[in-house]
Amino acid sequence: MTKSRWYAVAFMFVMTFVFTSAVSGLHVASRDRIRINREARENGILLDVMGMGEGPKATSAQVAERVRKRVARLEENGRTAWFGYAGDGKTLAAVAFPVSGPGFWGSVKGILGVSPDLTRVTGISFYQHEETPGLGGRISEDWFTNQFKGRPLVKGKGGLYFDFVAPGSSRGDGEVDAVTGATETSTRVETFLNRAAAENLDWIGAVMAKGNVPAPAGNPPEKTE
Amino acid sequence: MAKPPGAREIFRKGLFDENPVLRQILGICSALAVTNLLLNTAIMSLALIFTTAMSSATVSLLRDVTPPRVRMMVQVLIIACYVIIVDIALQAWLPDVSRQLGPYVGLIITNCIVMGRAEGFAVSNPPLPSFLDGVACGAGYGAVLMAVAFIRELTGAGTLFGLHVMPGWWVNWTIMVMPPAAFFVLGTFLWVVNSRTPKAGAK
Repeated sequence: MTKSRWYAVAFMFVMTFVFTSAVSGLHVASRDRIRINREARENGILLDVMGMGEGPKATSAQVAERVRKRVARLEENGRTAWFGYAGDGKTLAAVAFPVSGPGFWGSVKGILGVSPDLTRVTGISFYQHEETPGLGGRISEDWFTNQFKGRPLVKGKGGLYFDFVAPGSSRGDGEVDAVTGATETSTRVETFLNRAAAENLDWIGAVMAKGNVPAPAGNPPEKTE
Repeated sequence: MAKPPGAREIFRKGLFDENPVLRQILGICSALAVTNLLLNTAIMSLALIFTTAMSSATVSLLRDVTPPRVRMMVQVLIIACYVIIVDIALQAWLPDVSRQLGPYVGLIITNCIVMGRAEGFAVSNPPLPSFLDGVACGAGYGAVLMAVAFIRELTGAGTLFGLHVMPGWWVNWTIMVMPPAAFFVLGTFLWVVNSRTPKAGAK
């Protein structure tokens, strides 16, 4: 019987139906969980780069609540910025914007957080990339991103905010250690980071000068801190 | 039909005599790609063990009703199904690991070991031995990968499972975490193992 042509077609049809249904069912069942994971991660990163993190033990619900109450998002002409507020919901604590561009293997996505007067870095994260694990991939590691914290945002040599120098030779301010063995990744990140910083800082400066800074959606402000 | 081999023999073959990586030279692509960090390698190995074991068991369960002319299509369908299950499970419960492994989990579908075991063992053996055969071959693959990853992470990053173990004066051999080093390490492994074991048929 298993040699019949029609049996083979019917068998394949049934098998495809059963297995596709099983996978689809699992996908639907876990879709929300995967979405929540992604949002929690992005929210946590957003708070971290603005120096407003809840700490590593925070649940995704706490992180989401803090973002809702204290972060306002502004979109204008294809640009995005986030304005983070202190516990009172009124005092601006930090501003963040995306810094993305091409890496060595694929696109690198990051967020840069700066102080409300746009003069210092509060944090940076490269949260999505396809760089070589252990080499270019180290741009997402703490030792690399922690270098940026507290650095002044001043254009130095060549009009750059950030100057990637040979590993171990950074002397502070705009100089950061590049990644050993990942010259291509380092150079590309340096290029798009400086470009994104220059463009976004000009834009956010203009938005703030006009007083168009949005308030968080979760008003009234938190009572306790 | 021949009596299926016992569990002991299945594991001896999967881990040593017919080790998929060292003796059959299968699964080399992922062996080269994911072995620069032990943690990623461990998760990848577990994913492969699960996929090989479950797909072999399923292929075996359906072996008497599967028309011979479409059996490979059925095998690919079954394998793809289990790989997608692993991928979704990692995304839902181990999002960090899922991100680090990137496309390699999905590429288990094309790993020759999985289909090799389905076609070479499961189609002609009962479900339980087929399941064990999948576990054994997956473990044989995993053992080689873990050994390669151990050497690469230790010398290339000075760490094991992300923990620093090398002394302060140690300078990381950057090349070890780069793709070419996988060729050197795996090639050396193959050379040593194959020079120490008798050639097939030379018993």
